[in-house]
Amino acid sequence: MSSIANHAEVLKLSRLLGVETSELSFLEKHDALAIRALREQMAAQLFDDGKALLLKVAAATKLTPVGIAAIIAEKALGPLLCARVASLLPADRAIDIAKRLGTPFLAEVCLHLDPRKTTDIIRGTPVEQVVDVARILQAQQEFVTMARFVDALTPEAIKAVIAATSDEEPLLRTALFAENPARLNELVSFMPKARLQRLISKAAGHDELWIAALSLMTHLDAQWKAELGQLTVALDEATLGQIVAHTQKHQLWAVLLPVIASLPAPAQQIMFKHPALEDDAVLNAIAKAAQQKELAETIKVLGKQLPPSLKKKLAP
Amino acid sequence: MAIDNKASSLLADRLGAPVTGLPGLKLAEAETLLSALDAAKARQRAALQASTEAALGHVPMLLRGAVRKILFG
Repeated sequence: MSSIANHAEVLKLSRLLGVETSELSFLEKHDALAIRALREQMAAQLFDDGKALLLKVAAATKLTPVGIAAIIAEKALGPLLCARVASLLPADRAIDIAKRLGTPFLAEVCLHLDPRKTTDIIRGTPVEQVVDVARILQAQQEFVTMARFVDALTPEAIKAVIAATSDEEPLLRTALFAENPARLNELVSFMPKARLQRLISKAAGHDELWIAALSLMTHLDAQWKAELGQLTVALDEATLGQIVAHTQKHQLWAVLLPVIASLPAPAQQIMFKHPALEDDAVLNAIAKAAQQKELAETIKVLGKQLPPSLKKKLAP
Repeated sequence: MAIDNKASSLLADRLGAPVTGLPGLKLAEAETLLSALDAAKARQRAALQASTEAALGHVPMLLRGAVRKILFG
């Protein structure tokens, strides 16, 4: 699973530097947190570069009437510089200007904005405008950008974006890139059970989405992990078979086993009694994952529920 | 595997702080990262220069002198 996080971090860094992700693929073998630290160091360099002129632009913006500042922002500064100048303006001034900007332009500004430096602006932006921008970002499949804003948005704005998003796929893909996984419990809690059911069902149908769903479940606390796990085992046998196939294809048993371990015993049995788990290659893959030191506790918890064929493979 | 000494000192020198947690990062990879950063800075600088000039054209005539003074001294 860490490779998913690594890839997400490489994507974010390549966006920051304006290069193709493939040019930085050599970083994917490194730890996600180390790549993030590198990105933060590079972002600081980039944001500090030309700061003297950016400060002057911010000072000139303060002098200009808001309506004209918005015209200048859109027609002359462009999205990149607006994003850089925004963090140097008083939040209320930046919000007033933002309210007058066209939604497509504002969405472009978001691609370059540092949400940590502009949290007050983001939180002060009217919810309807946040939803409109989110719609554009979703349409452009800018899930990395959307994820960067998850931490800065108010709960009301996040709820409104979720409510305005009829498809669960963009939500899953955004969750995959979330900067602060701790916020994911809150996000999931904003979704009605029927939507969580659809989310799991949708994820089961596509291996990329299943990776995103597993990544999400990994970051959730025990209660939500169990909740999504229950929804998973409630799927029909054919769909569960697809999940086994996706997990096997990407060798994600080390991620799925702790999710299964968080379930009540009857739900664990449903998963372990699935016919797809009788396949020898699948059993070997599970056994291999189970040998990882970090999974010792999980295997202990699963103990009695493990199928005999798997126990045999695990026997010393 | 420790980070290549040359790669480590090059990154630390350019980024102003030690870079940790990237074991085995090669010198050529550090150079790729830094040249991408330089190119991003250059693009940003060029955009900044061009857009501040362009911005002046949208400032009302009465304010233009004051704004020009702030921007260009």
